[in-house]
Amino acid sequence: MVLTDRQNDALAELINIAFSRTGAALSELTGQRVLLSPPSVSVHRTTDLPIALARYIPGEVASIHQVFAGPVAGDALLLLNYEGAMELTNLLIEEPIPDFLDESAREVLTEVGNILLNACLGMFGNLLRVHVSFSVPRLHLESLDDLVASLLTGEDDRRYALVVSTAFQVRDSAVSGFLVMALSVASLDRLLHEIEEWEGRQH
Amino acid sequence: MTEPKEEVDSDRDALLNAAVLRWMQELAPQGILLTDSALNVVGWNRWLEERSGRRSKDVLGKNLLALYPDLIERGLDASYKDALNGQVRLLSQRFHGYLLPIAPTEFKGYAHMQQSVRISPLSHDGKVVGTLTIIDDVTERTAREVELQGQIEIRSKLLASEKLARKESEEANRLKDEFLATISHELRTPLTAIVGWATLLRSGDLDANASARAAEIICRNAHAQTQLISDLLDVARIVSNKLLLTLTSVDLPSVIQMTLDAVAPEAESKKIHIHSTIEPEFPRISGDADRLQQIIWNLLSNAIKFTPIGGTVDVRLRRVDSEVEISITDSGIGIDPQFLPHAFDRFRQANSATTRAHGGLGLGLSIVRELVELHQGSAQVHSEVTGREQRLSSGSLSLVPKVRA
Repeated sequence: MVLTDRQNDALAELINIAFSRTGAALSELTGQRVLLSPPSVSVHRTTDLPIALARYIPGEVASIHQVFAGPVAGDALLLLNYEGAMELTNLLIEEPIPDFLDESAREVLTEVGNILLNACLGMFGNLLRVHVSFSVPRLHLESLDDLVASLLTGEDDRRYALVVSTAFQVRDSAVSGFLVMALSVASLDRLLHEIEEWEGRQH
Repeated sequence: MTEPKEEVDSDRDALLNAAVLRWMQELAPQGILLTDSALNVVGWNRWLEERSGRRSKDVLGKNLLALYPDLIERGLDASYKDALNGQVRLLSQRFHGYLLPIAPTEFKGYAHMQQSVRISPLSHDGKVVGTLTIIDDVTERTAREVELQGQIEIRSKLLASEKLARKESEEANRLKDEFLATISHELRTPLTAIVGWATLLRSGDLDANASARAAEIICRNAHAQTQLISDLLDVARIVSNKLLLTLTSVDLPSVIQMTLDAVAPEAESKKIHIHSTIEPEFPRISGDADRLQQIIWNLLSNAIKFTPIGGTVDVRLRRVDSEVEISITDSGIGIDPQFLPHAFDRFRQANSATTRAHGGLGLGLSIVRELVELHQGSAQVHSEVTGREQRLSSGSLSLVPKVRA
């Protein structure tokens, strides 16, 4: 499934609004200027995700995973490669942390992921005028294949993944990450329909 | 005699509800706080009672933000608003430290129990009806992580200092090897001249002029070698702490004059002008006259050695407070700033290229320092670039003047 240019632009614009809120929230939280670079958006079959992302996440992937339920349901994830996860944590907490993700670093990442995912999902919820409920976010460290396999278990209709790539810009550094929303065909259709409606209202 | 299925289900549901409630209220190893949609407290479990010092009867029905007004001050009320909007909020210890200001049970180094918190919306029929807050006490974990971090830092510092020590010992070894090479070269050079000219003298083929020149060369080289050997002996005495001073009352200006006379031929041969400034009516001091002369001679011949033809060397003797200062400045090549801290080390010359150009074992300044320190003084070297001329003060010496009664 391929998005039309118009759908793509509209999605990117909407997500950018959510990102600016996320950036503001993270700046307030960490006391430093945090920006999220403008998103680029694509849609993939969930099974194709390893191919689409393998270039950026070669080894272990750190994912913050939140399940959302309601009229639109799916899995929302923030993906970072292990080094990126370490670097982002280091940038956000201005004190040296060990060369591995300790419990505190994991909590920090989970909170950051939670803020980002909630901003995006909350925005979709508002757009669709539906109430979406969220699970507690969880941080996992696993291979990309294992991660994708966990998205597919028992949920045959969760076939599409909306992939948003961005970068957290903190001080002079940038850490790339991906926001992935695995959705059923029905949920994705509804989302795209509402986005077109929203886009129509903008003119 | 089977019961209807619904009844079994409802019995089981009731049992499960009772068990969950009991666990939440009495047994949970976490703080569990429930509010309604107006943030009035509707649940406060035993864990919270025991740690916060507030009984559930004192908090139930009261507004959470009124009970803990600093939640607003610290902006944490926003997380509750998000939860009432249906979002889950995590509060990590690293960013927030704690949610509720509660004293830690142990680890008194922390003013508040360190907490990791989840605030979730409670929904009923798709509508948010309240919030559920789960609080974990992570004080111990945080303290352990800080401790671990400290240990990691100490270890990496230890590792770094071990590496440095190894590097230094390798450097010392290298210097000894280099020194051995230098010393065999330095001892052989005058010997070659002595043996060569002595052989020619014995052959009887030399005329009177050449014979006189041969005798002069042999004499000069024998002196040079005597100097090398006596330097080496001094270093050996210093190393074994056997260098002792013979203290007498010394007239420093005349010691300096004698030394100036001794180096005059050397300076003249390089057309170096030596200028001396000596304070008048200088008091006698207590010291070892021979060793003082050795100090000044070493500094002066060093200055002459490193000053190009036609340069100048300044010698100054003055009183500074209760001490005396001898400073010797030259217009020579100066000292590489990186080498300055090592100028007084044994067996050191700034690099082997200068050793080759200027000769010597690199022992002079180390002997100077030892001798000055035996006199309770201190020796310093400065080097600076003034315009295009590099100036080097070969050394300055402070001595406590002791006027003998």
